Amino acid sequence: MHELWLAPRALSDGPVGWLVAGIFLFFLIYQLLMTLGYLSLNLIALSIVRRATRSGRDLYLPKVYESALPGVSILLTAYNEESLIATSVRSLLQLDYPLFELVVIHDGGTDDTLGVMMREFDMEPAPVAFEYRVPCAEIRQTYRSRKHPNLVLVDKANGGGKADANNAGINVARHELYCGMDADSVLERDSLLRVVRIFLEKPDTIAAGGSVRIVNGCQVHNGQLISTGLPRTALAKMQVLEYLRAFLFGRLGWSRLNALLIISGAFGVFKREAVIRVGGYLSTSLGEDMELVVRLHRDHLERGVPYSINFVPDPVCWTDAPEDRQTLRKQRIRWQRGLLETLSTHRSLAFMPGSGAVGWLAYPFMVLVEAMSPVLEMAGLIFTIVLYAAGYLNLQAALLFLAVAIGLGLLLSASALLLEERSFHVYPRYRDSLVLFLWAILENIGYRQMNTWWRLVGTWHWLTGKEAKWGSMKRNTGWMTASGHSDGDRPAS
Amino acid sequence: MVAAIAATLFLCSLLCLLSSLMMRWLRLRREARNLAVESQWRPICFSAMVGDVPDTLPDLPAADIWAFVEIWIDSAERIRGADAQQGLLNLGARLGLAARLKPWLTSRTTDNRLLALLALGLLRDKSALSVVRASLDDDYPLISLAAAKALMEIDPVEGLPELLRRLDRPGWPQGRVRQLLALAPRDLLMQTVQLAIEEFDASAIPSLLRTLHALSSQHFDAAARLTRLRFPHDERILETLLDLTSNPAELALARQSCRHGNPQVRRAALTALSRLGDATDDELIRERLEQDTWHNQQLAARVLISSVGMTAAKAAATISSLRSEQARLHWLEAIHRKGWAAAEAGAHA
Repeated sequence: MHELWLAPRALSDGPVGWLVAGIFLFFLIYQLLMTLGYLSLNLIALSIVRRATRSGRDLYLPKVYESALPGVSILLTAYNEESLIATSVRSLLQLDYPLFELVVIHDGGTDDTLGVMMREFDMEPAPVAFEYRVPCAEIRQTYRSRKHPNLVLVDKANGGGKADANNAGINVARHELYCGMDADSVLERDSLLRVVRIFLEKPDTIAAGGSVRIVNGCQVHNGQLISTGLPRTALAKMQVLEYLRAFLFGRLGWSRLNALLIISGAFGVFKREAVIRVGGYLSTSLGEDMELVVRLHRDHLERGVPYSINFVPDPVCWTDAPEDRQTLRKQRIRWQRGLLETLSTHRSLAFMPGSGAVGWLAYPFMVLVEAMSPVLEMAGLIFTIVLYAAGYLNLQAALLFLAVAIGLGLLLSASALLLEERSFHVYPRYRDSLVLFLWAILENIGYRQMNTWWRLVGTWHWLTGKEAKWGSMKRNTGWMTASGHSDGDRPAS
Repeated sequence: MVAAIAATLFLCSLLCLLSSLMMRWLRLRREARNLAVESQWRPICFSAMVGDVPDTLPDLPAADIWAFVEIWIDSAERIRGADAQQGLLNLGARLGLAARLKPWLTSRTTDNRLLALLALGLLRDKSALSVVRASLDDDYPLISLAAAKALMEIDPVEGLPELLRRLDRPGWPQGRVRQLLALAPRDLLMQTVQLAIEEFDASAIPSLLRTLHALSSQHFDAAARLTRLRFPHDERILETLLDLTSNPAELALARQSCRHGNPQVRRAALTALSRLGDATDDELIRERLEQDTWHNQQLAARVLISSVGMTAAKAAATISSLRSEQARLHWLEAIHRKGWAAAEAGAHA
């Protein structure tokens, strides 16, 4: 067995030897637990993915007719989104859903988002009766489209980030359900229909999220996704893999256990009254989407009210992924901070009596695996370097453990590819699977470490309480087919 | 040992990749095969629907049954009508579909069970009844709904009460259940629903009333009277009645319920007034616009703006008479949505 220890012979006896062995064992057990957790989620997802995506067969059952479907207010927050806003709005207006309104919230940005909306959709100032039921910055003006009666534009003062903008939308929204969206996202036409169905099938559903995929590399024309493909840049390709892993087995697995703690801000449907009850989004949070879901869990668990928060994998939302390091860095730092803020705010959930899988499984997993992993990965790296510098490192064992770590990551990515083929087969070519597999190997060289570093920076910012900002992100518009058409035009044949 | 673990992990990953490529290959091959089955059997299904099935049918190998049954069900669902259905049933009988599909009812594959339930229902195969009954309470809604559909098709007399008992079953959207109920002969349906209204307890009545209303508004009025007699103080039933009624005899009840303590009942009363009320109710509706919950104010504004005799000038004049700021906002929004923005401008001037 000695050949397996990172620092074997020289430190085998005495307190230093025991300490090193202890630290090594700690990392080993941590790695094992993490892997076991992910593999379990993977197995759960593999066992239910076909059932969760079986939508074709129900074509032969009586349809859920329009009168049975609840109305949905789609909230689209926009902060300096002049390049994407028209495409997003056009895409959403074409949704296949009988009763919905689209509320675009202009969050006091400094670019021409408002002007684009006015010109493209013929907006006019219009009175809208609303109450400030959840706190948000002042709503300065409301507009309605002359062309689309279900399109409302809210111009609000800047402040409080996306959470505040969403709260403004919740205040103005009319319907019992609302769907939170990002301006850089495109929904498939029947996505809303599919995700809302879970509210009918499980009446105690208070929130549901759908899959989010990377739109880079696809083609979108006049708000409609017309072809799918992999992005060109390495950064975006690796994010495709991350999203596959996160959405295909991560969220599907947690949802099955009724312990889903995250619904992506890019696409989630909520019961409006349930959200108002808990006070809406927390405007000081950087991870407002996760924070809201955790608060909903906590509120219902504390009151002992039955509820479910679901993930429906086949409604797909396509979102723009950052393709430059600077933007990706900002995003990952923000995500890590948001995660830590949420977990620390709701720490009472940990092992809360009666909290089931949420408090006993999902929350501890989030803390140990998602939140602490950058710290522990970096500590492991430093530990190895120290051993190497002191001349105690068993290089062969270290390389073998590295190979195991890479092998585990690769296995998770490969099983996500398997799940993808078993469920949606979004990417049409054989080559796409091979390319993704190749990148699953390559992401271990540089990308994974870079990501860990950014998350570590995020952890540091959270620890030191550095001022958080919700800035605008650099957007890619390469996936939009150039279009000179104005609103309502059809794609050229 | 670590080397062995690492090698195993890499091998497993490679296996996953190869499996996904293999699955893709199989899927594409299956899709190509399905296309071939489609091109061969779709015309035969269409011929069967007009009673023109060829004397000799091509072989239907076991591997193609799945694709064929999908085409067969799709044809049956696309074109309704007794002759067309009978033609497809004859085709199914000649191919021995019932016998070939029955083993699928107990399959461990959900897809197989689902397709078998749907097909055997269309075939009205009574020998499948025991499995169909057992599937009615399956925890997967698509299976239980498919079983309900099959039961209604095979034996509506037994199916109707079973379905009505499960009206509020989670996972069964009411719209779907109503369409299943509509599969039963009309007289039998009305008779069974009426009976249920006389027997069911208060908690089951609202969805039953909604179902009845969707199926026959004419029978609804009589049932509404009956339930009011049985449960005079039940607020959920009162709310449902007001929400659905178009019976002028209920106008007094709607007016009276406008000041009910329960906001949901007041909301339903406003909805009833929008259908049954006249100009004399404007004051009552305005009262709700001035002082009620946000949702009821919003509804009151919409009802008032659509009331008989409301004009742009009257609407503009109403603005200044409203006392609360919130009511004014609701009213201004209603005016704008009605397209009377000019009147609003006039009032402001």
